[in-house]
Amino acid sequence: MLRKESGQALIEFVLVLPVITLLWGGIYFFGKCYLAKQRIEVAVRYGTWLSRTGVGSEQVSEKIRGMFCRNMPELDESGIVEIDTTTPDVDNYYRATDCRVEIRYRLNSVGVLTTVLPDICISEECRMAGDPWYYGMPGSVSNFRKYYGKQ
Amino acid sequence: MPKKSKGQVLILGLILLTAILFCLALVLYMGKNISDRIRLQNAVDAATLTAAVWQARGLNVISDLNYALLIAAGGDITKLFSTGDVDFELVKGVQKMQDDVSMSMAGAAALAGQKVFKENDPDAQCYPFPASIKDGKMYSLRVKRYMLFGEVPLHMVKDKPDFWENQAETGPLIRLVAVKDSQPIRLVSRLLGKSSGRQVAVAQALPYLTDKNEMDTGGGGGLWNPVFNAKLVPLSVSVEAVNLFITAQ
Repeated sequence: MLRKESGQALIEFVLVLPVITLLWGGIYFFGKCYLAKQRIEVAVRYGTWLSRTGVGSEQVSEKIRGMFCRNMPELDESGIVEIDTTTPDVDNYYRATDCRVEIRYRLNSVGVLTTVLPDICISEECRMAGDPWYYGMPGSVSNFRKYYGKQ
Repeated sequence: MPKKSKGQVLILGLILLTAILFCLALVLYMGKNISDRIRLQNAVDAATLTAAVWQARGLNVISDLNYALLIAAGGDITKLFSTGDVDFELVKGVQKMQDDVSMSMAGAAALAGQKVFKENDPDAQCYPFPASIKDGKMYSLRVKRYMLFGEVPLHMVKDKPDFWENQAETGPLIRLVAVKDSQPIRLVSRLLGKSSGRQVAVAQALPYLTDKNEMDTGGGGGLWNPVFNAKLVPLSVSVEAVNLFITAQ
């Protein structure tokens, strides 16, 4: 009777083990997801800052990739799907000279979790005003009239 | 085997499961909290910097129009000597342009800052936070017209003579506070024993003169050099001051 019961406990533990493993893997995976999200938020800010100080879009992409290689060893640089530095054509006088950087990153799920969870796409975006000198503005009088509609 | 030891493994398993679920909740809570905080700081930094950039643009335009005013005055004086007509229409036109810029760029700074903030973080709110600016006109460019002999209006100058020495008190300086209240974070933070899930970020930025030239010293206020830029300035505010300000809003 004693041997039987101890074996039962082992069986119960074996039954519970996959659930615990899955939960533990989930902790690891979601922690990694949020870590990647935070890193990418920092990276878009860095890219927007570079773009604001007059660095071209190819160099911004290069520098962001270099930052991934250098400063973020826990993130794979090849996960970057796209670095988008184009400013959308907005019909708004106050946003026409903004700098914008968007990073789309694909995080592969690991181990057993590949069967349960798909790959996760993280997309972060940052924008701020660009050049403080006004040649960047659509600043001629006709453009000003166009944006304001009157006068 | 006695009866009471039957459910021991089950109890152990339940405790383990609870601990692991608690760990999962903690990971999600911390991850979302930190990520939201970074985004909020990015948004408020971008908003303050954008507002200060628009102020710097206004100052640049006004500085250039000071030069234009000089040329227009030359034209008007030539006209005065050649025809004897004293209406000064060129000078008045440039002065009207300067007045328009100095009035409209304050609103442009406020609007552009809010738009950039909403685009970076749509769930949060952003308020002006004029802690140490006395009269509260935070977005103003702080320029006025220099009056010769008290009555002849000339070019635009800085509002205060000691403008750049004490810009935090008197000058154009943007200071914003961003607040985000998150419902799921509030729930988990109640479970973890904290009072609220509110996140707060502050930032300040100012337009500044990048370099000087010889014309900057003349004219009683120094707005001749057309090279203004904007920069973020580190800011430390006590939590009590921010909470007082937010509850007053």
